[in-house]
Amino acid sequence: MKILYWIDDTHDKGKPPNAAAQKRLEKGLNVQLRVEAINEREQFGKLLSTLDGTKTCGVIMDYQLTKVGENGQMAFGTTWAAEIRAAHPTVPVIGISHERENDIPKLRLESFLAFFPREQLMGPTPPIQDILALLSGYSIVCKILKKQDGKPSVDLMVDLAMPPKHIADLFRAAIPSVLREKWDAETPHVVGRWLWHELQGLPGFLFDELGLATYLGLNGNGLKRVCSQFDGARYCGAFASNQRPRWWVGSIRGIFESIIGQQIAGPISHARLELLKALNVKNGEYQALLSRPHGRKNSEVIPDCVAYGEDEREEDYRVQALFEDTVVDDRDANAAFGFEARRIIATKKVK
Amino acid sequence: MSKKPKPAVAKPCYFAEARSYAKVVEAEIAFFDGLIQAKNNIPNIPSLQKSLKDAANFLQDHRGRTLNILVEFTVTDPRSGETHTMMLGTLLKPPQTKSHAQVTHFLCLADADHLLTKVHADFDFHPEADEKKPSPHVQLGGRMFDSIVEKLKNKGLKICWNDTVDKPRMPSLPISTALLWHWAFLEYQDSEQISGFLKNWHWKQLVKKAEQAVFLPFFRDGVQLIEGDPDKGFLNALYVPVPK
Repeated sequence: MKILYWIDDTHDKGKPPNAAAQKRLEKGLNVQLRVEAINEREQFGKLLSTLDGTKTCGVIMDYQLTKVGENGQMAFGTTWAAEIRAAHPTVPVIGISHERENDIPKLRLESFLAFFPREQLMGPTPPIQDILALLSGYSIVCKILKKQDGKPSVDLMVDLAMPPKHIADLFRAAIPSVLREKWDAETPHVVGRWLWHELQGLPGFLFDELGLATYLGLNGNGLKRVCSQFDGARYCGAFASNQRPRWWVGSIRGIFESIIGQQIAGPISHARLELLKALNVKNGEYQALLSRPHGRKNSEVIPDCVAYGEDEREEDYRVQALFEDTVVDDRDANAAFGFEARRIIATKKVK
Repeated sequence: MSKKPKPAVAKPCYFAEARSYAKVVEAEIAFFDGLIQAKNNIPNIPSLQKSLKDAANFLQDHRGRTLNILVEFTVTDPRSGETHTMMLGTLLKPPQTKSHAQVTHFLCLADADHLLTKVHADFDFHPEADEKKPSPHVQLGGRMFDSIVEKLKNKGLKICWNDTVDKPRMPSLPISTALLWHWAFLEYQDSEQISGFLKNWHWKQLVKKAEQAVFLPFFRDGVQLIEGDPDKGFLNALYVPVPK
């Protein structure tokens, strides 16, 4: 059984996972969770030298390690994460913190493959599927790196993401330049971050659940009723997680049209009733399954985008909205090629 | 003596009732796809990069999304030597429940204070429009486009034409984004931002493909129409909507 390290400080006895949380993680991830409570820098150095990359599937590490740095100062897990990666490039490092992800500087977040709230990992329903996807995805990238056989890096990315054939060229064009160079030991981390945070995290190539529901003209409940029909468009590449499902934008229309048996002119959401009818949803249920535009009472207009309800970009505050009621989030004004700027509700404009 | 059979007239794709948004947009998709693949090999213009991003998003679902792009070039008038901003725009709007498909390409020239001139080329797909128009057609001046207004809203530029007059509309060659740009480039061959395109192998390939996709069927269908159905009249055939 592989080992998953949990590196924490000894500042607060309640911080490392208790026996129940540890058991949940071990059972869900099928690993041996080894909790390492560090109280001084030297201890970390020792751990680093004894860590066996072949037996270790990953490291979960606190973002801030209290009183374990030089002269009892705070040490940032980010620095240590970089050290682990340098010494054992096949070991992914996942960050945790009690702080909100939005409050942590981006540069520091980038040292970790992904980041989770500490409470979530130690809670009754930890994101097991997400962590599994991260660990297995990282392992796949490392294997591909080993066997690259002179294959162009862009082709390796296509192998990993497995985009539908008809958008493969577009996908290739969107691969950032750093991943077009010859891959080295640091690449799995960069690849992992791009596939997890950019490709699967930003609108453009893939829909998340709210994005797909909006595209289909349905709300969350509506999506639950129809989403199995769109399994053919599911993202199944490296780092795919069942807890974080994604669908290829470019494949949805074809499936939609084959379900209803006709071609649609314009947005497919305009044929949402035909979709529900084709899937034998009872007429009386329709209204409860259709999307409604945020901030517009009794409006029959179909929402055409997803927007953040406020300027915090918290995932919980996303709504289905009319394009005209939203503005581009300034931070995404220069979105990367192939990706779309996220939008926020323009509160003054909503009628 | 047997009568010589009349040559079969294939359905012309660029004339009257056979014109379709899907057919017209096919060439646009091929162009933008090719341009995206060649993006690292063609001259780098900031507004072009932005437009390519928009085009990439459009390509994900071109039948459901609208593409509205505007690319700016700095050009020098070969006679006066004055520097102008040349704006090249494309609007591709698929048909929706309450609106008809729209394909518009335009060129607008501006100096520091004025929108000097604008020429746009439209396809028309409205099957029940009251007014008959040639399709494709070009029009000098005419209505303003959102993408220009958006671009210049803070500059207060004066429009130098009457933007309420929609006539005349002159029947024209079919225009696509690639062909509009190339035509505009040929007009300003010596301008620094332009000459790089005209010499570029990738650009030449894109134009060649666009000419084959757009001009070839237009001329082939035109010849067929004139030879096979001369009573109908070439110019008449360009006017839509066709009476039912």
